[in-house]
Amino acid sequence: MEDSVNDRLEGIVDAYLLALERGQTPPSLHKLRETELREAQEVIRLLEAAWNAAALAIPALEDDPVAAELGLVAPRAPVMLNGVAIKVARARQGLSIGDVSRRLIAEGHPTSIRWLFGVEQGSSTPVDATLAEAISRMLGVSLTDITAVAATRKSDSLVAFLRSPRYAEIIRDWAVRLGLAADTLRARYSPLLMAAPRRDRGDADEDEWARLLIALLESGKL
Amino acid sequence: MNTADDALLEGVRVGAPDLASIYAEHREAMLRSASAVLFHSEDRIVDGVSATDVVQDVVLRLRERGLPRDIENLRAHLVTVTTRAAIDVLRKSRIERRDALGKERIPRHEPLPPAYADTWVDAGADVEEIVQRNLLREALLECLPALPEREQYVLRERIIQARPAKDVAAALQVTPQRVSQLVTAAARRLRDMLEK
Repeated sequence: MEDSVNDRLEGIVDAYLLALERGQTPPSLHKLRETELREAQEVIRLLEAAWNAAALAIPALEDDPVAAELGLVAPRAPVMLNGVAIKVARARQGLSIGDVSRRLIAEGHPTSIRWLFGVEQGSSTPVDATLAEAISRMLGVSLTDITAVAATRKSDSLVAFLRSPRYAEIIRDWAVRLGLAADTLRARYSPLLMAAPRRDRGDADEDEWARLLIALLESGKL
Repeated sequence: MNTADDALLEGVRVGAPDLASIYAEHREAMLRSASAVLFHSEDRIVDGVSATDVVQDVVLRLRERGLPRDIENLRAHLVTVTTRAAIDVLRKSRIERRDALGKERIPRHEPLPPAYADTWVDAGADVEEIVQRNLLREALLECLPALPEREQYVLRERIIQARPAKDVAAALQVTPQRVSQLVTAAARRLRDMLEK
């Protein structure tokens, strides 16, 4: 008896999933007994809610503007552009400075001919990473091709610290102590950590970052 | 509710919510909820508004107005407010047109995934039903790791990834019928877990 109930439920689930796949009308449940009907409806409702959930778009944390705003990810480091490399790549594409500038503006990057000219004259100009990518795309070269040597070094240990439970815990404790919202505190202190001299050494561990954060909090440096 | 939420709820209760940690913990649920309402796949937007925009607005509002101190389930609260915000966007973007029955329809920029076609599209769709559906999906995803490994795998592949039964069966070296059995068993187990 139980087996035949299970078989019926499996058959219905199967038919339902097939209907979802094909965009067809779901099978009728009217032949089921009342208890079976309730169970079938509950199971189907659950499966239907989760159906193809993987297709729902979730940007990576690094690409999530809200995460960046809340200080969950370090802002992307600027890219140092090599002016000569840009000039050569632009000439190869047969583009004038004006062409590149106009295209960048059309893509929403607030640049100008004068600015671009200045970049081409410099050996190493710091530029927002998104803009640098747009330029490399436009010139048909890789970002590395137009990046100056001694490009910005990422501080992996700082990024790891900013994502660590320890960081969250320190921020939470101090938020309560200072009577401020934790995210306000986070928004104020993450940039300070990023700008800290230790960052350049690149060898700070979690303890060191924690000590630095606490020192900043204690000094009330905002 | 997980243990991380206990600590986060403590902050909410004393009026010092750690919004960044809350977001880190629940961002995927929020983004999925907005995305499901706006029937997104990778790059779908409704009148220029994406799921990320909806979530950004929600977070901004939470920042300005704070979170109610009596929240019991953070994820459920965030899924609910995000879903409602996304529905709001959808409704505002609606161009009124009526079908043969005089029912208002939301314009379809692209064909909808079949699973959403009938539930989401009606302008008069029950908001609560949509919220419940998002809550159910997130609860299922949260409980998934508690299932036996084989059932987890089958649910992930057959339901969450929507892979054809025969492909899942081939991967597991079982019959498609066995896949159906495992899906049904997993769903029943989850239903029992959620009832508790």
